Amino acid sequence: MAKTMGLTDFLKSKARHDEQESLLTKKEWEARKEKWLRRIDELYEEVRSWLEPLKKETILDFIDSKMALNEPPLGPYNVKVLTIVIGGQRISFVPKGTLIVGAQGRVDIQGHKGMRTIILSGDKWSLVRRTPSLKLLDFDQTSFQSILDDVME
Amino acid sequence: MRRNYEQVYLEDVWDHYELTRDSLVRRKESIKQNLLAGRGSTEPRFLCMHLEEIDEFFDDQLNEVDYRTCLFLVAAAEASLVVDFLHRVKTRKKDRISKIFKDIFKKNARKMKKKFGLINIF
Repeated sequence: MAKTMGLTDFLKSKARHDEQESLLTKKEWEARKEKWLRRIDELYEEVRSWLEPLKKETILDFIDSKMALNEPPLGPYNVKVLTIVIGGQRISFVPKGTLIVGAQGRVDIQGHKGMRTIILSGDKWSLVRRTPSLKLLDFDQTSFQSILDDVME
Repeated sequence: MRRNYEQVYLEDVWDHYELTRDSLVRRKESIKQNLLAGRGSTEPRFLCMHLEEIDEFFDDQLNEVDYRTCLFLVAAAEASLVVDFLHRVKTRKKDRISKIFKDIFKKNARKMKKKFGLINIF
């Protein structure tokens, strides 16, 4: 720190430096967060629509909850968590965040037996398959079934 | 006395340690800066990782570098003791420590030839 620079000036220069480093403005980050939260809502709606008939038959149920995330450019915010209860098992959609390498967001689908990851790539959700090589598959009813097969006992 | 291995100085180990740590920290910061700047990155190794996980990944790598360097430093220090021990024995120095080392060497010659380490002898 330059000797002539006071604490206030020093912190202002650091803040300016960080703003210049970021390619996105605060407004754009805010828009990205809104889009991320909207996409999560749409994801949950889609999953619910697939499973709604089973809910009517009381084979499964949904639990809605919230959790806090804190990502540096976005600050703290709440995201929705969708939990599907099937028998004694719970499968939760847990948003990880939007600061993801190669994607605009990630949701981990956690079950008793394990976890699978879906990412927001562009405007659509994709299932990440890591073996034998990294591959993205469309997140649809078929891939969702394979996820359930992997994470449920 | 001849040594059939390349001499490694503690400074070399330390330089390598600092260089490796520095490289890892720079790589981590570069990836994080790209993410925080809203730039896309498609490095396969880090695909789908969250910012936090990037930190965890590199913290693990840095810890590994710490452990390996500790191991290397201990090995280098041990090797240095072995060299000093053998040097004192072979050059037949008359000082007290050299005499003690020579006695130890005589008593444990067979064992020493079999396993060239000081730890068993002391």
